Amino acid sequence: MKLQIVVETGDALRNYHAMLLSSEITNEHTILILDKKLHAFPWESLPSLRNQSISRLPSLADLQQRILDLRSLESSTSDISSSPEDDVQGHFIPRSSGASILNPSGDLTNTQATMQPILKTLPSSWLHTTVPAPSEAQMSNILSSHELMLYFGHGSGAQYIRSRGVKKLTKAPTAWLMGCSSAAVTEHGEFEPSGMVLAYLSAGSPAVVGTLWDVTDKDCDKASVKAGEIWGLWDAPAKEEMPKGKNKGKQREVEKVRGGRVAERRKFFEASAGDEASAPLKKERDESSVPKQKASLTQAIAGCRDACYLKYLNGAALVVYGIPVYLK
Amino acid sequence: VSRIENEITSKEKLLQWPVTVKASSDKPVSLTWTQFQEEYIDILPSAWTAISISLNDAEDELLLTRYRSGQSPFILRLPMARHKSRDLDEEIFDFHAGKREMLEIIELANFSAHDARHMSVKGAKTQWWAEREALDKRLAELLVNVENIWLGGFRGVFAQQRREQNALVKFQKELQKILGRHLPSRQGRSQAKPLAFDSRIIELFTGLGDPSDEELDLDEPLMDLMYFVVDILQFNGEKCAYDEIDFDSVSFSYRYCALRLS
Repeated sequence: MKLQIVVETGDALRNYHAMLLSSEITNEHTILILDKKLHAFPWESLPSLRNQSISRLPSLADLQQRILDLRSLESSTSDISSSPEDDVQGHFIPRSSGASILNPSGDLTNTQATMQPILKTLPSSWLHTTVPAPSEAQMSNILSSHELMLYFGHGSGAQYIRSRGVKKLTKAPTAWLMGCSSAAVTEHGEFEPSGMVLAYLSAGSPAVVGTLWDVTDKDCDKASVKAGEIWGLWDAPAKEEMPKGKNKGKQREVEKVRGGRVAERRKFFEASAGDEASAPLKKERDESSVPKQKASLTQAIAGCRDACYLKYLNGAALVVYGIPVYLK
Repeated sequence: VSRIENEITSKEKLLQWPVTVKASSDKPVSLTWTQFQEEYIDILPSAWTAISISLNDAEDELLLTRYRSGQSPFILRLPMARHKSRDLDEEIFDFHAGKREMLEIIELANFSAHDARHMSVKGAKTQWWAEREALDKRLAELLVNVENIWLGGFRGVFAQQRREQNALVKFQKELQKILGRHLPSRQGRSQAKPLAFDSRIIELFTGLGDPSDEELDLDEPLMDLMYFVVDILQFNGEKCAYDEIDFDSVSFSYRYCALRLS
């Protein structure tokens, strides 16, 4: 049953949208301040919120702290770029100051094969760590001496540095924790939740990317590659650089399964005469040759979810805690 | 350089009662609204919106508060099962049902991501994928329910939309005309007070998106907002009997409201 009042309001709304001079929104960002019982939901993937630049924080005090940090940072580096009329849009970090920790446990061979060539395209000032896994002191060192840390491994890296160790850092960097449930927080009823991502935040990290539950490695890698590309960390990898699960050795069980899936899906691709994965990648590369405004990390994460084959089960797990971070 | 490794925490230290850290200045513990507005809200960059999502103690209402620099907080209190009072046949999707479903999906997702069953068994791979794909779909459906049932017509509060004054004013006028035509309380009275809604209520409408988009079905959300608008009128002393309005329900909870704090 469609009511007249709703029909008419719908028409008015249609007129309104037709009147808008432009539908473009620039740099709008939303920070969700989540109640302790609401962290488990991937709010960012609600139909009308998906693709928006969204991050989350546990309190307004955390947000205030980050804005004050931005301001003090701005006033201390007031060289040329501090034109008074534009207010801050986010935290800016240099692309040159970063560290990566790739497959420190040595068993994620597919992830290593996917990410290593891409990480090699980063500036030579980057510090890359793989096996042997870093000690807690080394981890602490890596975290305090870089502005960006990319972690590709199991979990949130708690095997290498405990959350207590992270909390002790004077200034935690922006971090990508590309592992299972790395952004999951543990609820404690009426008490505040705990988790690695909250440890990074309490140590002043501007933003932390992580997953709300366990994801499988291949989709997680696809999303990482895409996110880095949108963010401006690296270029889109050339076609066929993604390994097709030929490593039969010590990989996770699920990966073998996905190998089977690739064969199964290949039939479909041959039938439809086009590789879903490589065609759009190429197109975007052409687009990126046109200089455009840089995307924030939150925009990059919003844009990478659909790169996953399972757009919700893996894609929606990816979230950003913190504020927008840009590369400069 | 870290000293985490060789740090020793003495037993006495652990047993000490925590001391409240004295604030650098002698500020009062509680903030006034003005202080809160200045210190937490007005410092937000102009393009940022903070939206807090929380629950009431009974866990049956969602409290959404939207903060933007230079604006007072916009608070929405949404009973999660408000549709129930309008449609008695509907299955209840309250917070507990939603959270239970979410936690179950997470548990199953975590289990299947680490599932070490023998994939050599014929059909095991297909089975694994079928399960993962079904979970993917189940999660997408849960999110649709959260949006449609919990947020309903108020989803526009999250919209990152352009604010063009001309278009907003025109829309507000059209809305006023529509309400004037359909609300019995506004009929037959030439001197009915003009409706002046807070601009953020108008933005709840515009934030729903363009109905020309064929993928959007805005009937339900618009209906939700209509009840809300009628409620606002009720709170302002206008008598609107729901059964006289063209709504298909007479029993309706009055419980949701928008508060303006100043």
